[in-house]
Amino acid sequence: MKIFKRHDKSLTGYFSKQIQFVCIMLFCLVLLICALPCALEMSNVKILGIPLGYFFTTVIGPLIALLIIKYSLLVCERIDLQNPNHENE
Amino acid sequence: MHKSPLKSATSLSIMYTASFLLCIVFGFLLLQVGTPDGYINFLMLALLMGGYIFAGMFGKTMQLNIFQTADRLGSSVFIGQSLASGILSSSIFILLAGEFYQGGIDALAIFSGLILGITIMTLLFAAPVNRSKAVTLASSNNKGADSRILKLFIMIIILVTGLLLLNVQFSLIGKISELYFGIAEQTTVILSIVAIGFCLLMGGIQALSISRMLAYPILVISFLTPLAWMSYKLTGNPIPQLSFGVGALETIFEIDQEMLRTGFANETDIFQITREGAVYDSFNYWAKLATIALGTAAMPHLLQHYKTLPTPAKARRTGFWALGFVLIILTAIPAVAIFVKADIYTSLLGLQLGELDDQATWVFALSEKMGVDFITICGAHISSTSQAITACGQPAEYFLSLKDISVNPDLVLLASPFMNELPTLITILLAAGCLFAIWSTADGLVFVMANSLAEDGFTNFIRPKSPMGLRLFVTRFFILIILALAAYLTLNIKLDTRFAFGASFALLTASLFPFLVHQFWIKSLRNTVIGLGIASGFVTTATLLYLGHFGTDYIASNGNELRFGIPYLTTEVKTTSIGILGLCVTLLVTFIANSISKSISKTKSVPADKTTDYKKDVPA
Repeated sequence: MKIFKRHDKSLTGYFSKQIQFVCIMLFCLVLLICALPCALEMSNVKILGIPLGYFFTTVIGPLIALLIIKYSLLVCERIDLQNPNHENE
Repeated sequence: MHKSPLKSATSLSIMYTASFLLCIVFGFLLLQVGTPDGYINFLMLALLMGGYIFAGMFGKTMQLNIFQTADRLGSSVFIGQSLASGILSSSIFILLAGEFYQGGIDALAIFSGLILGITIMTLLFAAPVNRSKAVTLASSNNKGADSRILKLFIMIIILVTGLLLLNVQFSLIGKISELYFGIAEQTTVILSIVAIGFCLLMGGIQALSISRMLAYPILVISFLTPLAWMSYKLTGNPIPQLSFGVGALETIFEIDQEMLRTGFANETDIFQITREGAVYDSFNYWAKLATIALGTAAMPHLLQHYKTLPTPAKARRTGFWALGFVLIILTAIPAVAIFVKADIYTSLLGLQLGELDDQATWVFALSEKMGVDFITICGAHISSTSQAITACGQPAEYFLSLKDISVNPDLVLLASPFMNELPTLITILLAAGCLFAIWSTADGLVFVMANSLAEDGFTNFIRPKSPMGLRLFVTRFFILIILALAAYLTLNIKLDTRFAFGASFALLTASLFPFLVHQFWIKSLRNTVIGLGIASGFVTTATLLYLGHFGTDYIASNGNELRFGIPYLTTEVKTTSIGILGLCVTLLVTFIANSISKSISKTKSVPADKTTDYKKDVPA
């Protein structure tokens, strides 16, 4: 965590919050878009005639990515509002 | 007061889309009265060029800040459209459709990588790039004297990856112009340079944003109309994303099962679209996915759009809109591949050689029309039944099996309208879409390279305090130089499209991505440390890519190329996967260099008297 000290010693300021949030979101994203379809391919279930893993990768995964971006917009804007002077950090 | 052109985005977009639709109606009427197809092609080409000239005229400026950042007045939705047009290049469509056709495993990696890349770009870089006051990615680094060398190095990375991607884009122009427009490659390349050059010289990123924004609705109409037509024709449902499963994929699976049951094919021949069924190399799959994702996130010609927005919050929102716009088209790509596959399964597979004349005339028509081998039967380019009989060395009663039919995956998308015998106007629409997709990616690449040369090269090294007018002139001059260079390279050096595409992503992943993370998120590393890290990663990746493609004798694909594996992981590391190895080298060298740098700093910072005291305490 040494790398954050330069900007914020308490680890509760703008950059740390942003970094923590972005890391969590990226982890969720990788899990949902990449790892879950692999697991789903084990099943023989089909949706609209398309194997579930394939359908998840090409249709559901991108929609999840869209929702994650939408959610992160809200959170990042809230962090921005809580730290009005962050641009000076 | 003068209204910013980007503020008029809605009316511009509506006007241009309306004129495109009018052009389609006019083209339809002309075809009804017997006008030759060539005139309609020229009409469409003129409209596309008109779009670029219009964008150039409308976005023209003589102010450097507007030329480089569009005065930060863009709106999220319209810059989102511009970003989506930049991402949706013809190489993505054509290569992705080919990968989905071949089996879908690599295609899934590219597809997921692109989606993940756009999301990472939005989460990690949208707001910081917008917040940075610098006009190029490298210029935002101003810490210390060694930043000049780092800037130069970033400029080289942007130039190399940009020229590779530009070569991919322009090389596809040749295929499209010969196939659809019947025009020589040189002519279309020159027309493309005129259109892109005029637009960029007049208005820089302001005109670029307008032209890309105008391109998006055209791309949607041009790609989705032929696909919807194909989908309706094959399945009765005009929404390809929903229809390709029941209508086409299930037919393919049924025929495969029947062939397996009757011994007409074996497990390796049949169509596999999931990791479970196919030969699956997990290292290359994940490495390819990661390289495409990190490479997309670090693409400078996309990141530059975030500078055209007024606030970081709007920049993030732009990422959301861009992904939404991209998905509308990208989710339809698997459908094209599956439709072409289903067409071949239902209309060609199991036919007797003697029946080709009656039931698969499209094969001959396509061979003549395309001039290149989209489809070969028994390894030969055929234009008649007798040629097929000779090539296979079998009687006319011989049944065609999977191993006899070979399809060039790079031409799947371009050949699909001819295979499905779509109306001429719909085919021309797809051609227009492909050409516009190339232009709307190439223009951004040209601009980001020229801007980097002018700012990180000229201003950084030659005239640091040059006046605005001179910097504007130099940027315009470099736009012309880059366009001329791109045209020369396209017409004289024919790189393998897949190699150039994979190589550019690998180089971006190994070098520019770690630089941007350092630049905007970590910041504690010294320029020398990060410079050493990315230089090592870039050189390692470039060397491995070169040796893997050309070998030591400078000749591609003659068997002397470097092939290497990683014990317990894979027997052969593929082109795109090399990016992840390069990234590992970058991180490793950065870590070692940082440790050495810290220890040197500590040694230097120990006060002289303390050193003396320490020496006193040491027992004799």
